[in-house]
Amino acid sequence: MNTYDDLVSDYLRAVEQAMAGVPANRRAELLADLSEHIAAKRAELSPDRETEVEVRSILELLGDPEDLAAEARLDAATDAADAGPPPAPILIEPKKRSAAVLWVAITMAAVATLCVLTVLLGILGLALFRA
Amino acid sequence: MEAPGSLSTALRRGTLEFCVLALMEDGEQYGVELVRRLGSERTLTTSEGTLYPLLARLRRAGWVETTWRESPSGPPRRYYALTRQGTVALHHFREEWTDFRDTVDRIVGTRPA
Repeated sequence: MNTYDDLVSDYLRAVEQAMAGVPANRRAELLADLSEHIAAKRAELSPDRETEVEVRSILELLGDPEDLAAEARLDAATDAADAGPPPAPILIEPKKRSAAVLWVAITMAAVATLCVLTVLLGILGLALFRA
Repeated sequence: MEAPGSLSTALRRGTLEFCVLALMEDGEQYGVELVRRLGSERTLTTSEGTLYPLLARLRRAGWVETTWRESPSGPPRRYYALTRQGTVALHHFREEWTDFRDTVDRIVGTRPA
């Protein structure tokens, strides 16, 4: 722990602020990955002797917080696109609806007529057979 | 239309992740080292940090898996390895890419002489 921790936390805060609009779990994930990366690279530097230039260089290589946020945002957008738009509900326009009701009525009437006709023909046939 | 400056961004999208997978093909890689190697390829990345959202995406897709290992010095290290699915995806990309590249070269006139 030393004074350069402030540089790191300022950087992480800038990334976090740039990530407005990115889902909270994705923000947390990127911040964790970055913290881990920074800690690992600082550990390579032997902490008691690291210089401000070295710490700044780690952050510069990581890049502009805006670029990182843009990348994270693109990911979120891609995920949303992958999920696809919800299927459109089947909507029947009012005009078509009345037409549909009419067709249902006609079909039912036709079926009913056929039934009655069949029964009548049956009775007729029976009567003729007996005669 | 995309501005000329964003062309490389558009080209990277969809190809860079397979470069990352290819680097893991010979065995698991230390995350920081992976990022360092790719981050120095200026035609592929703008900075090291932009690779982390991509690695997270690969984890979520199940193409890579990570393991934490103790380090002799410093904090535990996260290693990245290809999964079976990741290997399949990389093989598939190789086939598609060759056809894609050949077609673009033929039409755009960039086929090597």
